[in-house]
Amino acid sequence: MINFFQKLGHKTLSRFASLGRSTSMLFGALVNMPNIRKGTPLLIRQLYMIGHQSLLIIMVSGLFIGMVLALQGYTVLVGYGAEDSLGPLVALSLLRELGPVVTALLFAGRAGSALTAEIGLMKATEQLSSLEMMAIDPLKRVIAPRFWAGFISMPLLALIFSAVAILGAHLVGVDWLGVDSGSFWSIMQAQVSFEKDILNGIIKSFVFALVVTWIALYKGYDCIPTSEGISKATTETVVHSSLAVLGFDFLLTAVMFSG
Amino acid sequence: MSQAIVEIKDVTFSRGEKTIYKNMSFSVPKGKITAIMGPSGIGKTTMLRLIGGQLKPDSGDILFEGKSIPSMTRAALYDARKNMSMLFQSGALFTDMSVFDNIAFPLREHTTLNEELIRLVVLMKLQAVGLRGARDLMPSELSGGMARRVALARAIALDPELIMYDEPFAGQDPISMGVLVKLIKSLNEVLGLSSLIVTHDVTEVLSIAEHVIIIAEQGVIGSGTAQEMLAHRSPLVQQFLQGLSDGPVPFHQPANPYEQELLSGGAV
Repeated sequence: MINFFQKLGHKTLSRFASLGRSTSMLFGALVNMPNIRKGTPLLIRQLYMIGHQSLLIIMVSGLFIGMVLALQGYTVLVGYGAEDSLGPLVALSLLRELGPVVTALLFAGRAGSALTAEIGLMKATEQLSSLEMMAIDPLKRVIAPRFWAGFISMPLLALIFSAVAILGAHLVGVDWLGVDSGSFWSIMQAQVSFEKDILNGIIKSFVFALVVTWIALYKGYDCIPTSEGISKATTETVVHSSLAVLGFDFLLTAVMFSG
Repeated sequence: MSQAIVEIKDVTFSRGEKTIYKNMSFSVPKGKITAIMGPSGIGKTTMLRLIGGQLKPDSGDILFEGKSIPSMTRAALYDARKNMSMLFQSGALFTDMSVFDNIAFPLREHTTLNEELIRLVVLMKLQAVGLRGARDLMPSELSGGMARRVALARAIALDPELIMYDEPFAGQDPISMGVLVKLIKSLNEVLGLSSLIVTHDVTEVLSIAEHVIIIAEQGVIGSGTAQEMLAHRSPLVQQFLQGLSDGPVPFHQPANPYEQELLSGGAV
């Protein structure tokens, strides 16, 4: 019994210590921004690696999720003769929920795991130590550009995801199942509000971007620099950030849409 | 002894429960090649990280050019590091840059030289290590010995006062070992810097080191010139220098008596 409490206490302490380390890492990366001349090329490179390279999986997934959503929605709505509402149904579920959440989950798997593995390997091959010894702060040189790239690209990816998914829904709902194109778009326009739906979705996206990129970078930076340690860190990135995204999604939805 | 570039004063350092150094003191003379030797697992690399300020000692002080490393602010420490460089065991080249860019990297970060001048400096450094022909290769295309030479060229890019070598000879074939020995010696003479080599390759290092420090049992067990060390009376020093398998450092890990363990049927 005492053993149990001892273990519990030890675990809690190490959780808090790790929270502290991750906060100090993020803080170290974000204060004293690197100067623009040196920082911009690094940021652009990371935007390419993290954002642009994720485009394909985001667009393909968006297309299919939009098509499935239209198919499922249509079979239910047509029973009530309400198939004209397919447009707002699809748009609202995408902009409020599926866009930000699915993008964040895909992003964690595609870009988050790559970030963790890359930084973990840089640590294992002493590249981070050697930067430090060259009087260059790895937090500014390695962590900061990757953080900003993730923070900037994920909301954009989520918007692209929703846009492609709505087109996919149009493809199935209008072109295949015969919903009237005019009512698909006009009812969608009437029902979707910019502040309530689109803006809240974007805010969600920024929160998820912060959480996923932060977890990915921290797991890589703090990993045990062995092959086993890196593989464990990569797995933890995907698992922890996916769970964190779902948890935060519930909290944010409760705050944004329950009132 | 001439002026010291690094002074270790009464340093105690422990990792978890394990004490690595206890009240250790020594100094590294300026302008010479100093070797720190000792059995593996004794914390030699830790020593370099302490001097580089990546770790802080539990007590005691470490002076670099007369200034205390552990009590420096972050900015002062980063400034001091511009005067020292470290050659890591793995080379630690940046794998996403070519050889040329790896060596140009510290110059681009810390100086305002234009690209034309940087090109000249990089070519000079590569010439010094004999790898001017490899400037366009990527680190993955280099052999272990070449990677270490490129890392050496990068380490001298900013003309530091002190170079610390972490096991520079480990895992090298005899030819690259010879090349590295010659390079370390000639760079030290030509550039007028101080070198600190951490190693357990006795023969190689004794041929070039002007000052030798042997570490074991949480402290310095002997220091002096190579000749003084070879004539040292301590059995521990002799065991290490001659590579005897048994002596003060026992061949066996401490364990229960052999017969008892074999006959107990695993019930110990």
